[in-house]
Amino acid sequence: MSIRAPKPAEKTSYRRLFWLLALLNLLAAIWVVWDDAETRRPWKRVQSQWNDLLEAHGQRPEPIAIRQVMNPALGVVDRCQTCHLGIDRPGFDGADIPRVFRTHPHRKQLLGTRHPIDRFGCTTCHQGQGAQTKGIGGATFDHGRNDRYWDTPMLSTVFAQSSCATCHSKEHTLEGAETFVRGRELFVQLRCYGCHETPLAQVESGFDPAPALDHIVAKSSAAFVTAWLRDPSAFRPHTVMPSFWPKPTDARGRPLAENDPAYAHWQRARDREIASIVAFLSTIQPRSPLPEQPVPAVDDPALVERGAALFDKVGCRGCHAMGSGTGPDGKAGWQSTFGPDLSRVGEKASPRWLAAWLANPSAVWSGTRMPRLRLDQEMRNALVAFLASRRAQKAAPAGDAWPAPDPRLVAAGRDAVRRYGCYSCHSIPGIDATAKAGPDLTDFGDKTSDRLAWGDAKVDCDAPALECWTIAKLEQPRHLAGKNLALTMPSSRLDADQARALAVFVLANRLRTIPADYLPTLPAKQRALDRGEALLAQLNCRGCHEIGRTEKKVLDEDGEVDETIYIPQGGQIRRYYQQIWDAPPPLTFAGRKFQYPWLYDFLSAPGPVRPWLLIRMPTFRLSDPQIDTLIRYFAARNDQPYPFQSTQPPPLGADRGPAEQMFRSFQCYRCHEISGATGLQAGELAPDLTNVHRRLKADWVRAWLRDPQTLQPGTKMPTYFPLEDDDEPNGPRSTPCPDCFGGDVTRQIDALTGAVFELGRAINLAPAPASQ
Amino acid sequence: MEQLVAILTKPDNIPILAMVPVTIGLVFLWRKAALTNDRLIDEGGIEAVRAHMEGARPERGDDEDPDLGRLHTWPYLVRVELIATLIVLLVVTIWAIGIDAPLEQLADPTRTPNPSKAPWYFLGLQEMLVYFDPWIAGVMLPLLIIGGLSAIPYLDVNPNGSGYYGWKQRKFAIVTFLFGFLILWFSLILIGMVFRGPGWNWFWPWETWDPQRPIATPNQNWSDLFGIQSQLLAAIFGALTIACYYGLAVVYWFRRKASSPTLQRMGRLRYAITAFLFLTMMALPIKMILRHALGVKYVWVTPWFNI
Repeated sequence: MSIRAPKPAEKTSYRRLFWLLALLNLLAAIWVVWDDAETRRPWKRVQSQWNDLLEAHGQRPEPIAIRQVMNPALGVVDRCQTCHLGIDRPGFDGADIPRVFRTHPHRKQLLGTRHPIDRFGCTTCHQGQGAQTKGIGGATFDHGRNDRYWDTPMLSTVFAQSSCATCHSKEHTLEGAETFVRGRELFVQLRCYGCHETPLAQVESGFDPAPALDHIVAKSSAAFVTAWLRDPSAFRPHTVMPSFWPKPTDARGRPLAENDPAYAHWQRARDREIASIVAFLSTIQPRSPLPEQPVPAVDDPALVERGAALFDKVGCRGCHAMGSGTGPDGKAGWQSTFGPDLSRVGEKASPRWLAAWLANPSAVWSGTRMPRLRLDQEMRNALVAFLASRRAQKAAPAGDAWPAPDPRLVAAGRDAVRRYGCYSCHSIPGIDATAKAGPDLTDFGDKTSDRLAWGDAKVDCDAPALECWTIAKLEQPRHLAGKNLALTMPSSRLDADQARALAVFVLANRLRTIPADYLPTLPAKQRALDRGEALLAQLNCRGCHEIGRTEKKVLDEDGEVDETIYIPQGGQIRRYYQQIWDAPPPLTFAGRKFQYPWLYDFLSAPGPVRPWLLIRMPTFRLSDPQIDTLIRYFAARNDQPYPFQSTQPPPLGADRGPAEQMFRSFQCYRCHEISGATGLQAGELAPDLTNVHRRLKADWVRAWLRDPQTLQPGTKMPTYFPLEDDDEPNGPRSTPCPDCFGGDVTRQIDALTGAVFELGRAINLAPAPASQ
Repeated sequence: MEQLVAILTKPDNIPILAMVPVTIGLVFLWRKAALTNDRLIDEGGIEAVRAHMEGARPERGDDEDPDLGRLHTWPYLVRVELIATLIVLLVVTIWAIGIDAPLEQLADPTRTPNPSKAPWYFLGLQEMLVYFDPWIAGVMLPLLIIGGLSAIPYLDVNPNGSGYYGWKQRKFAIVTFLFGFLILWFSLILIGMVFRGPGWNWFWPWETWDPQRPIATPNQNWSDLFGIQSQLLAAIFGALTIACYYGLAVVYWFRRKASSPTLQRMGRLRYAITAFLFLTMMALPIKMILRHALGVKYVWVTPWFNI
């Protein structure tokens, strides 16, 4: 038999193999116990290092133990402080302290009583693996960032700000979350909210994100719209309009070379789509006709010159940039970025449209935020001529004929407008805009990494996937497209800082249920200030008015205060005026100054207070709640009671005669007009005093008479009661009339105040003089 | 290829990766023993196998000994099993320490992972759901598999090949097992592991798992291939197709009954059960081919159930 016989089973000894295996199993069992033993816990090593550090600082060592914060209300089980032992202790912030032990860099501002760490833990803001103290497998602990199954990896430092919005979503200003706040501003400024819904955006109501396109045929030309759609920033570098056809990139986000076949393909597709959209736009029938206004002869150089002067003076500069922004001093400087830059507006808008627009913007486009300036016909003509002349040398004026549209192209254009979601920002007749074009962002921050579509892109990024994806998407929205993934989000041409700020804001959109007793409650004053600031920003009040100022003390050689410099917040428009009193008034003390009913009337229907000025308070279409917000804001700003407060001075009584005598001898009427008060000569230099008893508060008038320069530096109002010693701001003051009221400055000021109020009251009670 | 590397290095898939070479290795061991035994049987019948097993045991050579070629379970089998147990224990312990359990995050019913893959031993079942409705793939077929496996001792009437390895004496049983388990069941598991990505869509290993990929759902039924529009006719046509398929067993019975001693030994009932189980098993690869090659969703469509 050729087949070899097997060894019989009973002859085989398994004894040695058995003992070997038994020994190996015993060793494996010992390994199991040892591997999980306490002494192998990384945090124990960290804590003994901490004790060494404490000893070096001359402090007593602490017991080795897990430090855990548990708070079911917030869903927190954090053992972070098991290693981060110095996080809530002052004095561990030197560069020589190992990072893990350092004090929280914003401990005073954020921890402490605001977010006590023993209630809030760390993951409430930073996310990450709170209960974990060691890495996966043999790896170092990386706070959930290297655990692909952990949905909430620790956020990058600045992204921790995105957690603030979980509770502080209503606040407009948020100390310590500046990047988040900036991202939220960008979200509104760049009109992201046009396409994306999110409860966190503080979007003003009543304004459209972008112009309605009803009158586009009357306003613009086909050539302009084509160039504009191709690259809006080429026409207007800082425009809000994003690029819907951003330059194509390769998988790594680098721009394609212009000789690349894919580049030519992109160019052809872009031009085809734009041509179809222009064809569609040319067929738009406005929902209401353009209000016709007389159109001036726009070629008249004198008219253009007059318009240029008016542009600088009537208030356009508060919102719009124009040209180089040269002031009367001959230097280029501050230009507003709030509204569109009008340097080349003549290429965009036709004179006919401009005439209608300047007459009443909201009659042309009801959703505009542009207020009405109440300009007369002559001023409007000059401005129209000036604006129409603002175009690059070769460009054709706007308003030429649109080519007859091809019906097929029109249909394709309508599709493109729907696909790109143009209707989300621009109201377009005939296109339903009920649904926003982009995805809802309400729970964007909860997206897990497996829900991110990367397309064909290759992105190098060490941060958690959601942060990387969001920043990549914001910087180059089409970069993440793929063979199976067409993207329509346009590019807002963001730089890295803007993209990061926006990403912080977008990631803040998380669905969390926070118990009511954890939600912040702002004190009434704080709330009034906060809501007011939001409205000021929306209306761009600071484009014209100084509202708030910071003081900077300049010290001389001896360390004494030499000079106090005021740094105003807002009101930079003043650089376009030769004289400070021709510029819009500062409102830093508006709450102290104005009576609330007068302020309400003025804000709802502004009229001239200083009729000789070119600058004018425009008519904003403010709602009652908005006006209420503004008045509350001004009151809170100056710590004034609201809404009730005495505003009138006590009756003069026996002092009336001497008071009026003093009023005359001070020659107030030389500058202040007092309408109807015959015998007094009116001047065009200071506000009418007739309505002071309705307009101003007596306390303010007193303070004003005492020291006008402090309240409004640079004012023409003379200081009648100068300090006897300039270095003692609360010291005695001298008076020009040592005989009046026994030389008592306070009584003199009271008498003058009373005189002004009673004068106005007397005039207003008197029957109106018959008109001539 | 990155995708393939990611799949192969996933801790979840270690059992699958280990199972394939181990099982194939065992098949080769079997093949070696089976071929040896087949030669011995050819030369001297079953007695030669027994004598061979007795091997180098010269003190016992009596051909009449009923224990010839046999050993007691205790201690000879049990001690080998003990050794095997110790080896498995050692491997599992080292595995448990060396590779962390592939645990994912806390389960959240509102957020299921995509793709949601069953553990390796259920991947085949999950893949079957692609081809059949849940009541078949998830209920009927598993029950048939368990019931059929339990029924094998009662269906098997072949006295040969018991207690030793062989091939020639049990060709049908061995081929059925190798196809049904080693090829079909393993293929289902490997498809589920390697080729199924987000949305349980088919991805080749060189493709990236792209959740945005448009899905071409096969949406025609067997009857549609023949242009049958009416619902009633389609139902009848589907029923006929399935009847014809199982009818193959009847045809085979009547054609081979006279000439096959095996069929005669089995009898009608055993044959019917065996044939039903066998054809049901084969229905799965047939349906897979129909689905992948022709895009057929259902063979038999009725208002109440679809097959």
